Amino acid sequence: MSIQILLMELILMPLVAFVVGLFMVLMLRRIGAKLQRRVGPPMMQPLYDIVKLYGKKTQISHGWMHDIGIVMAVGGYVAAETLLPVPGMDGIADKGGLVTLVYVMMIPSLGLALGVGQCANPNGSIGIARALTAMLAYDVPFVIVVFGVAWYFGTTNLVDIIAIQQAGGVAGWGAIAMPLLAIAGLFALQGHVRQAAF
Amino acid sequence: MTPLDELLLFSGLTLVLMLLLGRFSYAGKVATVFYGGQLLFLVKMANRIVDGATVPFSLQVELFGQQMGWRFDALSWFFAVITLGAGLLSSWYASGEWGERFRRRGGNLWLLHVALAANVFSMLILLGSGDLLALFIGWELVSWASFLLMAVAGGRAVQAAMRYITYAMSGAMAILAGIVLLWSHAGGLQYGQIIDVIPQLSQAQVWLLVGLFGSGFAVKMGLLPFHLWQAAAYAETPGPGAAFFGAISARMGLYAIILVLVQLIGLARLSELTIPFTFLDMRDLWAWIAVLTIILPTYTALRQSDARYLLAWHGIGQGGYMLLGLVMGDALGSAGGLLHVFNYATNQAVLFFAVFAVMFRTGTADLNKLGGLITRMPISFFAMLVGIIGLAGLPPMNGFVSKWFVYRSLMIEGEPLLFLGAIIGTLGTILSVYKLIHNTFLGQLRVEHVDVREAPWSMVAPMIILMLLIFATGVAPGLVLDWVALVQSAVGLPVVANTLGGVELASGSLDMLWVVGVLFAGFGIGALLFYSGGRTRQVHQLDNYAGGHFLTAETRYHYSDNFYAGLMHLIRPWYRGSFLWLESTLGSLLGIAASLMQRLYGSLHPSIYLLVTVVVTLTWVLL
Amino acid sequence: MSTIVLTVVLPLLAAFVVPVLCRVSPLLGRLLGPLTLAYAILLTLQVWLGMEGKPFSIALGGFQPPLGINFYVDRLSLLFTFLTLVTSLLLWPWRNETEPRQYALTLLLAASACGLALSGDLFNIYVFYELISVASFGLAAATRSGAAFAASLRYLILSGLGSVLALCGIAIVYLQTGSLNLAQLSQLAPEALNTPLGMSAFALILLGVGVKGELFPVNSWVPEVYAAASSRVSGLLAGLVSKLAVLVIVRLLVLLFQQESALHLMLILGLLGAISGELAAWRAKDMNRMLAFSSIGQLGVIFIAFSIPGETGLFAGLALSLHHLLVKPGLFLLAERWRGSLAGLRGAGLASPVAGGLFVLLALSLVGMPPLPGFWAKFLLFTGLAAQPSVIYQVALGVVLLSIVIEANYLFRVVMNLFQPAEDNSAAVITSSHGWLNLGTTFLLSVLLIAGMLFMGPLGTWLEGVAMQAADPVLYFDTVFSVSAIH
Repeated sequence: MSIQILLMELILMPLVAFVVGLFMVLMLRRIGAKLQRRVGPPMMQPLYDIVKLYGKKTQISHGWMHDIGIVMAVGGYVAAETLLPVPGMDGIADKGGLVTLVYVMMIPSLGLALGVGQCANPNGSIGIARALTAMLAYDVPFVIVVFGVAWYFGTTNLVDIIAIQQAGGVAGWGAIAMPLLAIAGLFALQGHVRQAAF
Repeated sequence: MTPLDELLLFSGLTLVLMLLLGRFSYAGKVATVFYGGQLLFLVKMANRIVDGATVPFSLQVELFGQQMGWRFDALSWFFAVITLGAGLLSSWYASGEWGERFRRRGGNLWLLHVALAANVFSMLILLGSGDLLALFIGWELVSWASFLLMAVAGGRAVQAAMRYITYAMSGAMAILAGIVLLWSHAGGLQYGQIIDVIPQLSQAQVWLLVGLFGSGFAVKMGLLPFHLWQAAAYAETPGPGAAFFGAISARMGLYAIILVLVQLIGLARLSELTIPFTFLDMRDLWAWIAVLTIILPTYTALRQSDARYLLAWHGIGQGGYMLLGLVMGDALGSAGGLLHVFNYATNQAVLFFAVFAVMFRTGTADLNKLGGLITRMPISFFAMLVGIIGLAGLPPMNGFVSKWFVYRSLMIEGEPLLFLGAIIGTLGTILSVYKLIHNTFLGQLRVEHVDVREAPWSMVAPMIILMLLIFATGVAPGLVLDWVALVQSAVGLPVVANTLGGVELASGSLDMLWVVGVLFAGFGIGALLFYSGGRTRQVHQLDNYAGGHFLTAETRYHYSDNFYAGLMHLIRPWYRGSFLWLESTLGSLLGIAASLMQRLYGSLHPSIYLLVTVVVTLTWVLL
Repeated sequence: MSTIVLTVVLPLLAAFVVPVLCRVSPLLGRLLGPLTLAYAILLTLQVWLGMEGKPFSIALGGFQPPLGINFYVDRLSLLFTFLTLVTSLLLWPWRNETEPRQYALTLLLAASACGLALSGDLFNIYVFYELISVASFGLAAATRSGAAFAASLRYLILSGLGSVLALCGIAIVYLQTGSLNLAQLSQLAPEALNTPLGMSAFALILLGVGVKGELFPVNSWVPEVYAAASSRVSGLLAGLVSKLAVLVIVRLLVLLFQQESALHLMLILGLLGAISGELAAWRAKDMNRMLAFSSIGQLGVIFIAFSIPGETGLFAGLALSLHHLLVKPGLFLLAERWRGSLAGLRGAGLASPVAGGLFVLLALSLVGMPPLPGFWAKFLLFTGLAAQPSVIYQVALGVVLLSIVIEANYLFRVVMNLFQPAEDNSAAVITSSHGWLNLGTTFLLSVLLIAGMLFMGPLGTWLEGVAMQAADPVLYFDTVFSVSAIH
């Protein structure tokens, strides 16, 4: 793979993730609204929210760690995305693998925790203490899932894992071969994105 | 003169110099220069080590038919680099204002310098040991030198030191028993003789040997169940001493474990030793000891409210990763274990430096009496940040790499439970180190700390060096992995095929150059997004409200006590103090036996009864 | 060669002259004892150089052995003669209220101890042993405090019982063999004494002589006497007299009782002594008692060492004995300034750092920290024990290792206490009037210790030679009888 293509993938992959992410946020809110018999936000609402955020006049900072914490949170996810293949693009997924991905995904949490810590607000600190405790709860099942996946496919290279599943057809899908593990992973990831019940 | 002669002579010279000059204010600087010199001698022998040769010591001693010799191979060299690095930075840290303050407060700076030099010297002797007798002598020297350094502070430190020396003596006697047993079979104590005789020994004999040596070495390493002495002993040692201890001292136990259990007895032989009535073998037992050593002390650290104790408890826990990787015995795991020795040493040293810098300025390491110092001591904060990221094993610091190796080894070997244990330990570490940095540097600044300044340069400089080291070896772990590979081939373990950025494996590689690269690219994007949002306004820490109330100067509040209240509520019943109970029970039993003996000697009757018995028996025999 | 007899005769003579001389000229009276001892040391050295490592025997009173009495002089007995004289000189009671009597008793002790070391027959051994007892009773009671008298009485009773036992044992030996000459006995013993009766004779002698050797069940006098007597006397009793008692037993083991059960009996008693002594010392509340109990423990270890068959045991035992002889008196001398409760010693080491430093050095050697001599002595013991196939020796190995841990614990509890700043800033003061003298003596002993460490190699080889020679019963027999033939 030439360096140009790789660089382009590295730029495109976070963008793909960004679009997919926005769409998922939208879906989340719309499905939630439907359940509550509301109309829900329009298609472009997540984008509007971003624009609104940037338009705010009162941006405050509690110090440099507060700022860096936010940068770390965003940066960690951007980096994590390049380790996670999207269809057609592998990025540098083969340089890190599953375990590295799990750990890179902890960096945003750490960044947020540090940023909130510098806010010098006791409620913030309490929140972080709880969030980290919750992390203990959802990460333990999550790494069990990770271990199971790595053990089943005999590799932690995400590119290979995808290739093995595709080669096996539908029956070779991890979710079909290991349904319980898949459900467990789903639950753990639910905790990861901090949605209801977690 | 071989390079080892020069190194040991120079190290001895450092000790003598400290004995003579230790009381002068420039002693710390002299010591720093001399540790640097020792490090240079170590570098000088590097080319021979790289060639796979051993560097001999010219002096050979023969006593009572026992040959004693010293030499450096890659294993010794690797540990010696860390030892001297820790010694150099610790004495640098002590050389300026810290030492001055320590002396003014009535501390014995002379003893501190002497003890540190003695520690370094004795550790080099231990690392160089060329046979088991030399090993034992080095072992004892290290024990007593550590004891000296631990006792420098007086008061509670002395209690801790006494506890240490009791454990250490018990361990040493177990080792000595193992050594004489080996001697009685092999007729000598040269490593070659031992390797030859081990296959001829029965399983029971090897069991006994592993038990004796293992428990003896485990004491210094702080492995369960012999770990109780370590936290207090390390934490109560004055600053540079604590950093030195934290970085390397306990690893002497690992060195000996590698030497005796891996090199002489061999991991394969350990697997043959099954444990009756279970499906485990000796190697599994060691792995489980390692995992328990990871989990229990880490969660004990979580409960500490003194920063020094918190770190010291983590030190015990991190030792478990090294052992766990090592007993996996494959190229990846053992490389991870060995790499973690280096990585952990850098992390722990910088953390202790930061904590003692805070202590230097504020006079306390109590996590409930600090807070908000980030604005006053930014470099120390950053040092601690780098340290905790490394200790918790997150990218991009070096601690991640070594732990990754261990995890991957566990995955490849198919050890889900051990893997889970290791992860639980890591998560506990993340919780605990966040508490450390939050309670010290984040949150609200206390009134009495408003005028606090950054620590002086003599203390900050070693921290900066360590930070750079932690980051550099995190980005390019291959630098250290090259040494690790040398050690592996010297010890007879499978050798890891490393690259500069990590390792190339068919089943999932690691290239930290790329990972860190994209991470920082991500940070760049994050920064771009954040700072393009317009100017931000800096607000005062009290420009804040909580629960509908503004926080005023009168109601400063920093959430620090019982930080993980929710978690503790759940897991508190699991803290049983069983090991403490065991320890105190043994102590009481000893006390009861001792008072019985005193009563025995206090009364005259038993001897008279005995004499009567003898006379009666005699009459009976005669008639 | 026969001048070696003078080492017994001269101090004995001086012992009787001193009280008289002190009345005539106090100065001469003061000097007579040390001068006599110094001269005796010179004589010993002369003999040492003259004998060229070959043992010889001297028939006394013109009768040839086995009828007459003889002195057997090999490297071992000469070594102990030398040590006796040197130790007596080092621990000479320079300043004391009851000077003449003390002088006389010390000289008597030295003379009889030399005699004990040199004697070649059981009867003389018994006589000299009794003389030692008499002298040590007097010395133990010399401080004239109530406690000292009570302790001496206790000592007296036990010693008396011990003498009776030993005499019974000797009587049995005589009954069985018809001889008391050790050389002749060594020929007769394999047949005549390899019986239950012979074994019981050994047991009786072991227990009887063991009273002085601080052997396990007959040592309850030790803590009381050492706590009450002056440090120099304690040092003399713990360091020297105990070793002479051990020497007697070792001679008997080599020459008369070579059966395994004899060794096992001694091993078991030694074990009990080692563990009980160290445990009791762990609980001791004052310095002298602690050292006394620890001395019991160490003597137990020495008995264990000598119960290893062959010259290995002799070698290890000798090394341990010499080490203990060097270290224990030093510790007792230091203890003179730190009498009383251990808890009251806070800061004492800071007040007198030299004494504190010496205490640390001696304690480290006692615990067996390499590369100090104590370690090598113990190393010899351990390798010796490990090489024995019998399980009981392995058990002994474990027990000795355990006792070392206990020992390290209590000794370093004291050391830590010594170097802790006192709470009320009233550091313990030097209570003894001869602080400097004691300190100087201890310093000398420590220098010897360090020298021993530096010359460990040659020292070990030489000591092994001594042990080899002493472990050879045939050589003993040949020497005594060939020399008598020449006479």
